[in-house]
Amino acid sequence: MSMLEKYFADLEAALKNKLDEKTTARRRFIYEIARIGGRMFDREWASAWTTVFVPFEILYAMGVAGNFIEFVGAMLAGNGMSRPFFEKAEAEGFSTDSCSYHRTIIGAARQGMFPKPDLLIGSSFPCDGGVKALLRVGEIYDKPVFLLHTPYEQTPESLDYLVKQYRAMIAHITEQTGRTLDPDKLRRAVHNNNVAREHIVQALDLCKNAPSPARSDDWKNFIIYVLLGGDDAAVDVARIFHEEFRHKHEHGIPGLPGEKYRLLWIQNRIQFKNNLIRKLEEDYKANVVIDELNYIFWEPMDESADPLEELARRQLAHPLIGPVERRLDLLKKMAVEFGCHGAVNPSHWGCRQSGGARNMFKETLAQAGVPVIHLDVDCVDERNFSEGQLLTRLEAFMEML
Amino acid sequence: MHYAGIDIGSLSADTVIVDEQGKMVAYSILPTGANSMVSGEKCFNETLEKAGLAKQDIAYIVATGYGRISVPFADKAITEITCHGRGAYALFPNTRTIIDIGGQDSKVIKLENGGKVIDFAMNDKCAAGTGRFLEVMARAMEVKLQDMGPLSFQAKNKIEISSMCTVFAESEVISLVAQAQPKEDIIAGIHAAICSRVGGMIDRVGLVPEVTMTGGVAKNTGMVASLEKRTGVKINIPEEPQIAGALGAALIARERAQQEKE
Repeated sequence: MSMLEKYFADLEAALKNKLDEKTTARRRFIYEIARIGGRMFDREWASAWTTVFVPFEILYAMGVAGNFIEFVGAMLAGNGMSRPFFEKAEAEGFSTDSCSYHRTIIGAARQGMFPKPDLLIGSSFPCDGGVKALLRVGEIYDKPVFLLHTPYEQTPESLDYLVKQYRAMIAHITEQTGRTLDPDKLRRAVHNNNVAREHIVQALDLCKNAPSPARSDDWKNFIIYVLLGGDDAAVDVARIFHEEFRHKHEHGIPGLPGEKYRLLWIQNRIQFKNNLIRKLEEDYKANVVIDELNYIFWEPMDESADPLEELARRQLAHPLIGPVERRLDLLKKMAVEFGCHGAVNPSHWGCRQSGGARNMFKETLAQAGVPVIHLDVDCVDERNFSEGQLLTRLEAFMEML
Repeated sequence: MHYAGIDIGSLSADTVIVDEQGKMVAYSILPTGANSMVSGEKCFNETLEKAGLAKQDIAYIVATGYGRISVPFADKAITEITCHGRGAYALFPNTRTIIDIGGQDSKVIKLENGGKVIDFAMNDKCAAGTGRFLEVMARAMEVKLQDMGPLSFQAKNKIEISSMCTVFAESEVISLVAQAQPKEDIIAGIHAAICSRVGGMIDRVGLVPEVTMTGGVAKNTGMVASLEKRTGVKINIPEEPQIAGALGAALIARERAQQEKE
């Protein structure tokens, strides 16, 4: 058993024990994610390495367990395991200015940390760094990379184009693994997505109340929820979040006792262990009430229509594709809806799209009376982290609020 | 009663004591050295002595600066951004923009009427555009820090320093010295390099007059002239710019003590 396989097995077992003691939404969520992560070692499933925004429902309906590389990078960082992988990637010539989510994966793949994936599937958004990292992983494992090109415009032509690409992706998966699409499983995945979506929308709506029934880390990295891909467990996780927050709201139990300030978190959380959130909560009673990447931006899918078309429609509506105004409008909407007093933008090193737009974040949110603090932090490579310097910026921001 | 502000920076520990009316009664500046906890206490005791006061005469103490958590006897720790804002506003009540260049960081702070901080920008995680940058360059040229300002006014042909990394810039300056380039011209170039870095932050926050400069680098007349040229406005310089943060901390201490009394 490889180190990573053992890690996932131990994690799943430990989380199962915790769940047996007490079920919380967060525990159940992490447990299901660990279970999905462990599928990369389970030969009943084909395994795919992907970038973050691919239609996991299609993979799920073909018996493919997808893991997006940014998730694995975040997980390695969260467990303090990244350093040797950075060093390996850098020894191969990768710049320390490149995205550390991707650099750690390249190093880990070179170190033989993972089983050889059956498939590599990338998406042209949100960044080309992820695609390039996947191409390098493809070279390491001698595997072709299937690339989904998502058009910028929300037009009928774009929809047709993306659906054709999904069909090509399905053909590619069949060619590489012999697995075929189970149409009933896909329909069920779309149905599950709709049911889960409604629970999450309602759970997030509850967090619009002051105080929020959730505290800063309850929704941390919830973007990885996409990995559940329409599995029945996806509905359970969403339902438990909804029920937990409804219970807390109805019984007047705040996520953060004494909540005074409400914050919007833009893009990524800082993945390695640090004290910033604890400091915000304890010293300032500041609660991260909404993360940009957790927001439900898409409409319910039509279960009587072609599932591929519905999934493509969702993909085209993503705020990280197309003109930046789409993202800015959504950030402003979130800040207003959730009654945020301020926004934190960690402005992850190596993330060109976020770095490029950061002044626009500030200007747009200022229109809603919400100030923004840019932290200039590498969210994954803790060798670039100076907690004292960041705390000074964050504390000054809180004093300003 | 009296109130104290202690600012532990990377280069100096500064203490200010104010009276019930907020009037400064004494201050001290000491090198921080290797142990910020010891220097903070030493600086505080020295200021007490200058003021003819005992520790029990101080009702409230606010610590600030990067070493603010190293002052165990302080009642409250508040960041240097807020304290410099408060200090500069007390010294020049029309201040709306503060340029603070300290030992290890530089910042631009924007104030609204009443002195409340409404925006700020700080340098990235390196010494470019800070007092440390100037100090390293002065050492490389074997020039006293306090002589850099006057020397820069004698420059005939300002030399452009292309490296912003302190280590690379030091090598560049050593090379220029080795080429027998006039030190005055190099110093003018160094000032321009810092000015360019800080200027970016000024633009990001948006300059609103009056502008006040705080921090040790405000004592460098050449640097101030360079920033005045860049911004096109006259910059207020406090009599002792290094203690603006400690003064702000002492004034906040006074306000906090009064709030707690109420």
